[in-house]
Amino acid sequence: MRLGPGLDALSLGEDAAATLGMPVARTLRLAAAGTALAVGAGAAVAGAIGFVGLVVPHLLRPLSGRRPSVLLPGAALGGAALLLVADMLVRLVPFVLPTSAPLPVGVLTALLGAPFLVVILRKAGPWDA
Amino acid sequence: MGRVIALRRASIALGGRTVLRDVDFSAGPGELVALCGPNGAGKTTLLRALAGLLPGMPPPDPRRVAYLPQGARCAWGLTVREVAALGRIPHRDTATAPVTAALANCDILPLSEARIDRISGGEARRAMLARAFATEPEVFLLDEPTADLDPAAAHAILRLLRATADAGRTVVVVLHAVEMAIAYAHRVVVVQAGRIAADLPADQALPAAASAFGLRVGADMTPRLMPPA
Repeated sequence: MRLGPGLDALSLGEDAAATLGMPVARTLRLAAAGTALAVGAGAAVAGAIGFVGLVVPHLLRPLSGRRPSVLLPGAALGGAALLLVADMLVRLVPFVLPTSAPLPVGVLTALLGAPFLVVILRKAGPWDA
Repeated sequence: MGRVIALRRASIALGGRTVLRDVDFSAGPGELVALCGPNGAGKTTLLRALAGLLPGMPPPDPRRVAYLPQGARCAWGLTVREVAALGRIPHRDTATAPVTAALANCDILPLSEARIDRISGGEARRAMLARAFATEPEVFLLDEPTADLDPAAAHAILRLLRATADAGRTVVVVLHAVEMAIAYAHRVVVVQAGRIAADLPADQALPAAASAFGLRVGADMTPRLMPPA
């Protein structure tokens, strides 16, 4: 969270961020390390659950404004909420289809996320974040 | 007059190529200084050196010096106001008055809530310039702020920069349009092959600038676009 202003400034590129007084190299290193740590820890605990990281920031970007410092905490909350709902739905499946074995939650997020990926690719084009 | 930004005997090599040789440059309050010269002459490097972006150059106080990079673009579709507000980062505040004033100065206030990746290149350029103005710095270092602008907007921006300098700020600006530089700047510095070839009051700079580009100075009666009277 403390990286927020630095990430915002980096929207303008490294030179402009540096002249705004942001420690650019440190911000980039910390952001990369933080991302790797968080993703690694999450995958280690829960296993691979696809598409959440892809879908949630894109869903929230139009709602939260596009500043990285606002989007980042929002995406964390939104991701947690989406997974909670997905997990609940997965646990409800045995009541609907009595024969089925427990469904991995990754199946549901993939079911949601794959069409979403197609939509954002078609709608926005690859260069429009 | 105090010199608020200066380089002394700066020589800079980038990637094994000497880009600046033994350059002395300074600018003081109340000055609009235009850097002119052929592509690759070292204008941008000189500006980056002043901004403290090169190895061995001390970074200036970000509240005092604002730098607008060449071809400034924004990685995310922030709104114009959000981009301009990034200029407040050095002050660590969220003051809106300076941001609004900067947007108005750069004539982009009506597009405040538009996404910067959904407006024209010239409009985006003005939003980037507003970011520099929002910092309310003493010194502006601007790399081609009028690139992408239509002729009327370019005149308007240069008039703004001149007024900013006349109000006591320092403005150093890279300009390719030599005639514009001569019309609006107090001083024109001609950069050629990594050296300062000339440093003259604007009204005397045309011959030196022409020779740096390998062009002639001439006069003809061809009608051309003039700023509004």
